[in-house]
Amino acid sequence: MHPPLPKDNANTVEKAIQKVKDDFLENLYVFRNGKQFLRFRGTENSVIPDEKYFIGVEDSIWVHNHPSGSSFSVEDIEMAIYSNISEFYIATENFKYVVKRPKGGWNLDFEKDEVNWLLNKCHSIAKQELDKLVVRNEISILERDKEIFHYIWSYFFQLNGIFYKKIEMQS
Amino acid sequence: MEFSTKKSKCNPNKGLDDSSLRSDGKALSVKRSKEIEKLLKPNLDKAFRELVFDVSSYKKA
Repeated sequence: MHPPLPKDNANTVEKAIQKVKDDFLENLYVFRNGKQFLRFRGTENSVIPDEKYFIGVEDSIWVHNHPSGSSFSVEDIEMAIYSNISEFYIATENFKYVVKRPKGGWNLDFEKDEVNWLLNKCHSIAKQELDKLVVRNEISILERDKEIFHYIWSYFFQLNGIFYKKIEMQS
Repeated sequence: MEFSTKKSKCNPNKGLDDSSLRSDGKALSVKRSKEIEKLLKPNLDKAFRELVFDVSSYKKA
């Protein structure tokens, strides 16, 4: 479990994105009413904040980073929906990924069979299409695994009417 | 990322086991990521249409 750290000079969402995009460790910034509210730093592949600090994070904006370059993990999205946040960014070296809560709320429950069914269906199709490129030796398995979540979420969020985008990072 | 007190509700055995994904901790270059997108593009729209059909069939069942 990772404790909250003192606030730093990343006083806007964009500054936080720029600050963590090249970090080899995972971070999570929580912005509430436009101001940095919480900050955590984890390991190379996880950041595990204590839920007790997440009181009043509803409607907040989160900035998280993935050193691998991947889009959101399932756990990231579950945590965002559970906390009912309004926007979520993943910063990577070359791209940022963003998902925004729809006006009517997230309306997604990962405990429901139909949501799990759709998520697994999106995974199957994204993997099937990427595997065709692997078989043709056009991409490696490692490249497939780094890119797959972007295509899963592209399908999944589109089908659920949720804004999701991959944006090239401005240097 | 996850809360220490809350485990993922998604069952990885159902097929979405991201813990098994390999990574060397390095991001793909912009050029390579766009190359992959270009390679996938011809099949993405077709795959999406199939997905919409499957969702419709699932909802009817």
